[in-house]
Amino acid sequence: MSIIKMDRVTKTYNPGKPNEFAALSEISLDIPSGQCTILAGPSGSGKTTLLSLVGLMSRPSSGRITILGKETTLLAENFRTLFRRGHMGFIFQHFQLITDLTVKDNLDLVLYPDGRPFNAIRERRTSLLERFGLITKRAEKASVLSGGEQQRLAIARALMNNPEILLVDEPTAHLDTTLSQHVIALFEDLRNEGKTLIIASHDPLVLAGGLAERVIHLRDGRIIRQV
Amino acid sequence: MRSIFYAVDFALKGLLRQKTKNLSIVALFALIVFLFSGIDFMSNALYNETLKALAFQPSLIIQDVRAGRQVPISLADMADIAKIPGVSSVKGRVWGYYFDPFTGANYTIVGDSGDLKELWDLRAILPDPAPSGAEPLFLKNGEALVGEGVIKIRRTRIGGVLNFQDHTGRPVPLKIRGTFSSNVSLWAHDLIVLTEEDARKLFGLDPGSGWDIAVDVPNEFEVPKVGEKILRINPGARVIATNQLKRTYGSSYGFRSGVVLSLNITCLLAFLILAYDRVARLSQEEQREIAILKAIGWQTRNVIRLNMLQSIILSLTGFLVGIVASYCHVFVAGAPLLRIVFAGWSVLYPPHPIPPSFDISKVFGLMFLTVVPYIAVGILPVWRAAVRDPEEVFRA
Repeated sequence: MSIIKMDRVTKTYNPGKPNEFAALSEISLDIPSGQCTILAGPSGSGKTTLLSLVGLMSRPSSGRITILGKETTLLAENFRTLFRRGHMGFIFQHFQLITDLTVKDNLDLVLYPDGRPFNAIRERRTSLLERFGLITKRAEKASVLSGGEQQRLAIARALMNNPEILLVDEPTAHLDTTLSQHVIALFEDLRNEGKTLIIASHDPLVLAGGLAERVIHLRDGRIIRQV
Repeated sequence: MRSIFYAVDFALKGLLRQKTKNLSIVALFALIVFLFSGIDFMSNALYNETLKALAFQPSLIIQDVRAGRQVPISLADMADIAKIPGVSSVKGRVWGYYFDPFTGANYTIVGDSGDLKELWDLRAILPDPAPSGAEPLFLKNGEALVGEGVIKIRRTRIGGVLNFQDHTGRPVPLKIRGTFSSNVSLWAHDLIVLTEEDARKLFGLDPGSGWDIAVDVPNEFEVPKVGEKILRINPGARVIATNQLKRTYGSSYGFRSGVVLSLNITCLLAFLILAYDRVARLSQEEQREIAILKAIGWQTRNVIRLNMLQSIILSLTGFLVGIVASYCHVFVAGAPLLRIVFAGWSVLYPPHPIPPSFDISKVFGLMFLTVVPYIAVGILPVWRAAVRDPEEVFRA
C-alpha cells in the first residue's frame, strides 16, 4: 500500500529569475508503507529537494504530493507543520541540532508544543537515549558530542514523536566506515519495526547493504532508474 | 497549560544560552526605566510634600506690590478684612529670607506670635524654663527653632547661638531652642522660627506692617468672592489663593520634570532603535534555530509565543530592576542624581529621605511605553522567519 504518492512534481528555484533552475522535474513515484527507499544520485541530482518536499518543508512548483491519503500540496503552512509533527521525523545531513542546548533538551523540544505530560516526555526521551547509547550524555550540550553521537541524537530526535515516516538525508556523510555501519544497522532496526524510511544517499555502503527494498536513481532532477 | 509551562522553560533556557547579551539588554532596559521613573517618583513626591506644606497655609494670602515687587504690607486693613462674611481669621505675618554671609546660605525666617506652636512637630527642644503652673511660652525673644540644615551648615547644636545681624548691622544673637522633625524636613530644612518681635527687628519691619496677611476662609467655594472683596478694600494688593499655589507648584515640578523627561525621551528613542535593531534583524543563527523548530513540528504560533515569552521575561526583568533601583535611589538614597533638578536655588537642599510617594498608574503607563513596544517590535521578524519554509533557511 502506498504511503506517499508524488504526481508529476516539479520544483523550480528562483522562478523567472536569471538564476532559475529546476531541482526536480515531473517526478512521479509511489512509496510503499513499511519499506526503506533509497534516493541515490550525485550531488545536485535533487535528492535533498525531494526529501524536503515529502517532509513538507518546501512546496512543489507544480504537481501533487499525497501522504497517508492526504493531499498536502495546498495545505496551509500551519497544517503542514502539524502534519509533519504527527507523522514524520527528519534527519538532516548536517544534523541541525541546537548545539548549545543539552542532549535532553534537544529531544524534549519535539514534544513541547503537544503539551504532553512531563512524565510521558521523560519516558520517551529516556528510552531513546538508552537505545542510542546517549543516556550518559543527556546533560551535555550537543556541541560537545562527537559526530557519531550527534548523528545518533539527530535520529533519536526524529523518533521522539514516534513517526510513521522517517526521512533521512545523507546519514553517513560525516561518519567513518565503522560508525556508518552502526548507523545503517540502526536504520535496519527501524525498518524492521515497520517505519517507512526514505534515505537520500550516494554512499556505496548504504546502497550496497540489504537495507533498501528499493533504490531510486536521480540525475538532474529526474528519475533515471528504479531498482 | 503544560505547553505554556514548557514554552516558559525553553524560553528561560534560550535566554540563559546568551547570558552576556541578555544581561546587557536587561541593564539597558533598567537604565531607561530608572531614568524615567526617577523623575516621576521625585516630582510626585515633591508635589505631595508641597501639598502637605500648603495644608498649613491659609486660604488667601494678601501681599502689597510696588513696581511689580512685593513690599511690606500695612496691617491697617486687617479689621475690615475680618468683617468680610466667610472669613474666620486674619493674621499679619512677619517672615522673609536672611542671607548668611558666612555660609552663603539663605534661611527662611518666620516670626511666631505664639500661634505656630501647634504646627511644628518638634524633634528636640530644650526644657522650658517657665515656672510650673504658668502658661508655657513657646518661644522667647532671643530664641529660635531651626531646621536641621541650619544646624548642619552652621555646625552648631541645640543650645548654641546664631549670631545674626539686623538690617542696620546691629547684632541679633539667637539661642537655638529646638529643631524640626524629619517629617517636615523637606520644607523646614532651612527654616528659622523666631518670636515676631525678633523677626521684626531682624527685617526692620515696624509694628504696623507685615510681609503679608493670611486670611482663612473655611468654605473653599467662598474663597474667590472673599478675594474680590479684599481687592475692593485694598485695590493695589495681590491676593493669592492657596489653590493657585498648588497649581503653580504642580506646574513648576511638572515643568522641571518635563525638561528632564524630554531629555530622557532621547534615551528612550535610542533604546527603542537599539531594541528594534536587535529584534528586527534576526541573525543567521536565530533564523536557523527557528527553522529547526519548524522542522521538528513547532507551529508559527509556538515560535512567536516563545519569542514573546523571552521578550516579556527580558523586558519585565529590566523594568522591575529599573523601578526598584529608581525607588531606592529616590526614596532611600535621597535622589542624589536628580536632586539638582528639583532642589531649586537654595544652598540648603532638603535632606534624605524623600517620603515615599508614587502614582501606580504612571508606573503602569511607563510599563506600557517600554515593555509593550519591546515585545511588539520582536513579533514581526520572528513571524517572517517562522513562515519561511525550513528548507529555504537551511539552503541559505
